[in-house]
Amino acid sequence: MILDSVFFNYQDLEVLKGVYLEVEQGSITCLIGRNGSGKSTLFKIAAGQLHTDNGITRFRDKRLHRASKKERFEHLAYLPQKSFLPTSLKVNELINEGDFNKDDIIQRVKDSNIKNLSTGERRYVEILFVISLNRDFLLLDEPFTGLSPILIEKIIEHIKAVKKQGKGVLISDHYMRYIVDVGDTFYLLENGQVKAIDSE
Amino acid sequence: MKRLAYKILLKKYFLIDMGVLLLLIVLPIYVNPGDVLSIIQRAILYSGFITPAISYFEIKNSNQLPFYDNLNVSIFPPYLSVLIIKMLLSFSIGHYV
Repeated sequence: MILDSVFFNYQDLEVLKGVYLEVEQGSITCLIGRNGSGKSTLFKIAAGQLHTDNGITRFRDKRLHRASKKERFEHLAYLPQKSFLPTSLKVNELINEGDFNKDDIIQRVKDSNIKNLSTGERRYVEILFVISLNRDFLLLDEPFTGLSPILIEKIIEHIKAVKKQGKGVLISDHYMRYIVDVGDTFYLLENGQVKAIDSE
Repeated sequence: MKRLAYKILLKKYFLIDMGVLLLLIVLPIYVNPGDVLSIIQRAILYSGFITPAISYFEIKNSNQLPFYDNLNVSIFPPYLSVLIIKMLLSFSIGHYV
């Protein structure tokens, strides 16, 4: 997946100034940057949640100019920064309908409503939901927020398993310690532009 | 999984719709208890436009749009279907009753 020449202005502020970013299949790409640097904005544009007239998203040979969510979500699954599962939903309903990893944590919370889960449990269920969609690319915007170190370790195992299946993962988070461990390629978003940085 | 998304979407729609219909029927009858049938006919028709708007903004404000996007479920076709059914129902009440 390639994001090319992405510009985005918020009122008079130039948030993204011609960003180029490449996510390869079978690899984990990490996007790092300060708070407010535009990481989530870039994720939203990639997932068709934000409209911008400039910029192209490419999936293999297919070029998408406009938001075109339907085409994008044939290829990708998106974990937004904020909690997004309907609160009335039961974990059991998700498990029964999808290709869900039924590990010990899911077994423990399966009879609960999403609204009754702790922040960490809810995030964990959301990440497994996104993985269960089985798309070629995963966009994970701050997946570790609100998770305990044990849950983070578990999530990292899931992300590595996704990579082994030949899928591409784009991830951003403040937990640099975990990001450095999990990533293959690193990009720094600074002053509205992206620079590839050496993983060493 | 899409089936589940539609189920949640329609459940939310009908919960909001109950409130909207109740308001659109009870308030006019309370203010001016005249032609009840005509009030019901208009309430069904107007709610077909009002409920989707409320429902959409409720989903958007609670950040749940990515749930439907991830499942590639567009929320507008179900709203449009219900609107058409309501229009037919409303015109039928006016025409046949």
